[in-house]
Amino acid sequence: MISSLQRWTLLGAVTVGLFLASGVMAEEKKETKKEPTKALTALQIIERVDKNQVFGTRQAFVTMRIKKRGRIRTKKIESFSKGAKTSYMKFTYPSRDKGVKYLRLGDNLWMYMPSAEKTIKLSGHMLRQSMMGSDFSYEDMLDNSALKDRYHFKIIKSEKIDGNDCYLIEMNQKKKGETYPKRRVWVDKKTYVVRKSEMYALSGRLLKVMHMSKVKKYGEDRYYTTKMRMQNKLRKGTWTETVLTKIRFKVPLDNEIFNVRNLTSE
Amino acid sequence: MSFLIRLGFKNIGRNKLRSALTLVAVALCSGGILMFSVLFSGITNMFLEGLTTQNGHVRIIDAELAKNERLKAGYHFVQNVDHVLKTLKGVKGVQYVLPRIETGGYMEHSFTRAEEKKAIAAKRCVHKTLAEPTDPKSKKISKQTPGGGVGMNPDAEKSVTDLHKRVVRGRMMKPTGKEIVLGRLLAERLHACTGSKITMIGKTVDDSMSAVTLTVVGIVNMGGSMLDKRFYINLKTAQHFLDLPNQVGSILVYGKDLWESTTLRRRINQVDLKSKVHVAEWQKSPLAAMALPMLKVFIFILGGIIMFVGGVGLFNTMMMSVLERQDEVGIMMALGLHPGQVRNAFLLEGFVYGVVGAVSGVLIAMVASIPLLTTGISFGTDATSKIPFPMETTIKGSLSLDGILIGLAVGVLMTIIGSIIPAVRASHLEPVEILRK
Repeated sequence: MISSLQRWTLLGAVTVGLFLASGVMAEEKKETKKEPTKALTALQIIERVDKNQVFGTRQAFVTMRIKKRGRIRTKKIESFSKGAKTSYMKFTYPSRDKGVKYLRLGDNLWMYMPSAEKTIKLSGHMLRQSMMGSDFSYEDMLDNSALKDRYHFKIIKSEKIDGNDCYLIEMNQKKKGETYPKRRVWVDKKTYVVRKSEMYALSGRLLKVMHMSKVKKYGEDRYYTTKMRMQNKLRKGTWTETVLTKIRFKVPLDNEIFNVRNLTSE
Repeated sequence: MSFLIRLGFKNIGRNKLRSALTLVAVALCSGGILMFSVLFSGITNMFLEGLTTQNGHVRIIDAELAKNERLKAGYHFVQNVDHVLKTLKGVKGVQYVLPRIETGGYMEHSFTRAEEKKAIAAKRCVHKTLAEPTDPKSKKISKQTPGGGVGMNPDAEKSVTDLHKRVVRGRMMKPTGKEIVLGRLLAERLHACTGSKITMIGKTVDDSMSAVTLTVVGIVNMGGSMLDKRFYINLKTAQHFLDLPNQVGSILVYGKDLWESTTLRRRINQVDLKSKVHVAEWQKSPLAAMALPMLKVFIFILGGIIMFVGGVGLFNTMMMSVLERQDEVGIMMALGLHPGQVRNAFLLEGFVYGVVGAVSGVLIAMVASIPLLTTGISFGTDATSKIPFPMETTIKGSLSLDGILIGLAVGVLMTIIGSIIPAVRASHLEPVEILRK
């Protein structure tokens, strides 16, 4: 027989046990609810990013504002891209740069300077040089290849960037030779566009930081960044802002555009 | 006194060989000093001329650049140049104003063998051998090299520099238009001749790509390997290439005399140039600050050696002259000549040697300097190859009144000084002891 004190104690213990058990179960339920989001791997996130960023063909008008040595210069560009590494760019403003054209075919880059009336082929390493004095390199501007093929990924944590919930993903190059062997990107959880990107050298030194401030939806399922600001951390007091306007995806582009001969034509 | 003068001259005439040797020693000393002065005045003038070609009498650069010219070169420029130039021309004492910009890039010359052959035959090139084809399949030959040069106003430069006189092929560039004048070695490296098209690719001050195709209108021989690797373009082209409208790297200002640069600097500092600039005399340029003290020390040491050797020679000659005549001194003193009169007689003798020797030496040196003053001494291009400004490879002497007066004064003074000790010593001789000997 048990005494009334023992009975009350047992009842209390059972109540507490049930309460705790219900809490654990509730927690488990919560976990279960979160499961679909958490199950998204870093690779899946990046695949969604690539789906937004990588395109078959694209035509765009770009306004570039370069801040350097205390003054801001504006340049305007008309750009045509096809696939990962085929691009053509033509400067339309200011007058001193008007008619400057760049053509990238794979790892080759040609530049046409109207002031010299000459087409110049730039060697591979030149792709990593600053384009027209901006914080962007030629490769930054002309590359359209998928990230998933070039990097290994790891989710670090969740973080807010400009009020947007983002995954912070660390990326390390798969093969040697990437311009930025290491990157940290903040991917918007809703739109899967990169909100912020940090580019590092192999030594771990921060080379560049890019902020994407405007995102637009194109068609049914593509979110695309239309305004970004790049800062080359190896230079003091500089930034370059690009605003993309009149963007058209899946636009039919004549192969002749991507011909070296086209550079010298009007 | 007349007795002493007569005695002095009599002594000179008594031992003709000794007197002739003394006069030769004095003449060599004075003449040597004058020759030294002619030669080193020439070298100094040449150096200063070259230095001021690079730095002006007064040099104006951006105030920020002046804080560390070596580190900040290529990033800071004199702004509002049109106003600065206009204002400078109104400053009292300013004669010439030369704006300049340093520039450079990767230079490319594409041509065919036939074109080069034709240009060589027409004497439009400084090189004589044809270039080897870079690609056997292609007719085009391409020569590239990095090159640096200066953007300048060719008309303004004519007033001060002799660049236009050093053109060995073609002509100087015009103040406008895409023309280039190449240094001899740069032209040889690019296999370029007058009429060739050179494409220069570089960067603007904002690191944007910049390129320009220029026609070679002239080739200059600057007489130094460093300068012959450079090129010269007009200011407008350089400003456009670097994207520097109404800006230049430096402005060289010339007054009447390079030694009045401090006055010129003060006057320029008093006017409002509406641009944050630093104004400095040519003496403040890094090269002048380093080279001028060295030049002074060099002249001091070499001049000192010449004067010392000449002085010792004269002293020795005068000493021997007194020692040889000890008996004579004893007899004269025994006959009643005072020690002071003996001393004066020797000093007078020394003075005569000094005047006659120094005048002869200076006259001979003046005649001997004529080839140095007219033809000069050529020392080849190797000696000037590392000097970063145009300098003649032939030293021409410079005869100045200062040099003549110093030569005369040193000859006379050294002879008198050289005579004092022997003269004093002679006056202290005891006639009895001399006669007993």
